[in-house]
Amino acid sequence: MEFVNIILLSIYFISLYFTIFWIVVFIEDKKQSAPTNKKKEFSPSISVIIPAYNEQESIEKTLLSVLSLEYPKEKLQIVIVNDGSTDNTTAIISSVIDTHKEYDIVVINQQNKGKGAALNAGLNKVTGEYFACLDADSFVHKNTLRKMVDFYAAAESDIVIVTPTLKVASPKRFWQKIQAIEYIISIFIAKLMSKVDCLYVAPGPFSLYKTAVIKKLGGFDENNLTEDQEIAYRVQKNNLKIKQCPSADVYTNAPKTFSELYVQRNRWFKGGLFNALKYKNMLLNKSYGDFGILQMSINVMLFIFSITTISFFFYYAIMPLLRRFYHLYLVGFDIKPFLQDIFTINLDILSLNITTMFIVNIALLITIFLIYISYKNAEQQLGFFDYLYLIPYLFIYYIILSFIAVVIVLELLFGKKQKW
Amino acid sequence: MERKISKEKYILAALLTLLIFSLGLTLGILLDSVRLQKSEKLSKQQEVDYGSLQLQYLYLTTFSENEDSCSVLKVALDKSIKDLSVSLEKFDQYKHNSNFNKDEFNMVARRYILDNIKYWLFAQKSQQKCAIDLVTVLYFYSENDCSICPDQGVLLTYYKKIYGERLLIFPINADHEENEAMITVLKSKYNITQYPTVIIGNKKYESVVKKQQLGSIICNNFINKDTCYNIGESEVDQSEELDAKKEVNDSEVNKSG
Repeated sequence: MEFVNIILLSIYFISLYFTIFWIVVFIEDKKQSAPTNKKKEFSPSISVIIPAYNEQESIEKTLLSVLSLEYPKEKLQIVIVNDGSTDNTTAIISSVIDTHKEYDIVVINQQNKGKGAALNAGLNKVTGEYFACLDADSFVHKNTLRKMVDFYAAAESDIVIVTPTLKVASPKRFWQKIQAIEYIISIFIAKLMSKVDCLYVAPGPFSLYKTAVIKKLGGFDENNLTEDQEIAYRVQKNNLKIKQCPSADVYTNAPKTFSELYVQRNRWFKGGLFNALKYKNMLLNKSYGDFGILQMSINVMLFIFSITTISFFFYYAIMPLLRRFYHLYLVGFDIKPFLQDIFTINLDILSLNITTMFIVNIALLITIFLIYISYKNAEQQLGFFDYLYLIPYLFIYYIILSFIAVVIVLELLFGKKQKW
Repeated sequence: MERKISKEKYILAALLTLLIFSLGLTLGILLDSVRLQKSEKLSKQQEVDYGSLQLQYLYLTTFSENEDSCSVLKVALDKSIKDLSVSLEKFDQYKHNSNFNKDEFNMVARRYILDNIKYWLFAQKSQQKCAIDLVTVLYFYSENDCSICPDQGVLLTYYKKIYGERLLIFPINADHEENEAMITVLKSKYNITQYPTVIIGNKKYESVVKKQQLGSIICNNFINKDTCYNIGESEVDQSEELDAKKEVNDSEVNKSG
């Protein structure tokens, strides 16, 4: 067997293994019942930190969504950190405060220091027993906080972060529609990861933290590209729990264009890589249970898989396409002689690479099942046109993401300066 | 919190993955042996076809007064060579998708090379005997050491699609030279040192022969040039000059052979 085939089969095997593992977690989860030890009237004091930097387009909607939360007003504190905005953000914040004087709203105006520093500045002013962070381009559903607090009340006491179910807000453009599918699947995967204590991100939009523990852990890393991931790693390293609260819907504005998506994923992937390196000691470390053995391996392997995916894509798709084009050039683009075979269908099953096709088709079936379950889990329905977006999602989107990952690895290898 | 390792889940996932993988591999191995069986069957069929052709040729040479025999021979030759190229194409696909029986497939590949050489010789002999208006191309290529060989392959296929049974192409995969002395014999006869190389009308053309030039070489080898495909006179002349630079003439070939 050729070396390339061995690599390909290994990738199929590992991918299939992880996919099946999550299906096993899903089936096991269905057998278990939900926690029921809900404390009555559990309404602890909550602070919501909203870091904002030039968010004039969305800050008002974000603030109003927080002010509409179904939660006792006297138990709610809002800390807005205006991180050196140069647009109309400051004025919009003031006007919202003026019309909602019944709320405890604290505004911190500071020079631009980055999101991690803004969150820490907010954390210093937090008075709530729990606090949530909410990106200024995201909006929270009115009953989300109640659900998350109830979840805290019903679940084990060693949970320090509860994550929401993050969805794309009103996806209209092509890239947003694709990301909407991605987010729905991510909710389901996060649910499974939550079951085996493998969550490694506390999403910026409305993760709910135990204030005392996070302060004890030193707050957010101010020099990190993905501080919401870093804090999750740190929590895991300290053997504390992160759980996802089902149906705690938070909506975020997803990138509209490819260039916006590229910038976002560039930051996420780089942050992911740096954090994986920062916490490399957890990799395959039994002391961290499934997180060390499974999740850290997946996090590292994702980068390796991205590089191999893109290499195989070039080798098996782009190069043959270029070769075919060159062959057309060689025959002077005279395709007439070849047209006689155009309607000849090769029905010889023996001519196909059955082993690969079998494994790939099984993986595809599992993925389709995963999408179906994810939509059911998120209580969302796929519209007729949404089905069309599944095609680019399944066959193109991950190749593009892999391409971005490869570019990032190359940037890091060849020493491109990183802006923090 | 006390960390847990979900051993049972890991083991169950591993078993299920192995099961799916084994099913895929078993199916692959099973189909591979079916492919091999079918390839061998096709190859045997070629042998029988060749035996039949040889017999017809013997009949023709024994009873040369029978004028219809040439046309019968031509039809049989056309059909056999068409069958050979179809089964060779099929075999190439099988071999390409085979992961398990490489040695056995290589053996069948050698048989196909021998078949091609046999048919090439037979086609030349029949051409002389019956003055059949066809062009034979002996095409030497390598899958391992020749990145430009597929380019020549495409150009030959292009003209094969145009001329059909009037153009007979006999591909020889030189990678099997180590095990197949006949390839060495032919290489030495035509002094072949690089791939791709085509032998058309006993003349050697090295490297990729471009579309226009290949078209004119093929055309010039037909008895009836009126049926040539879209080659202008000037192009033919130009190609002739190029021919002169590239080709090795018969005497040189014979000397080296």
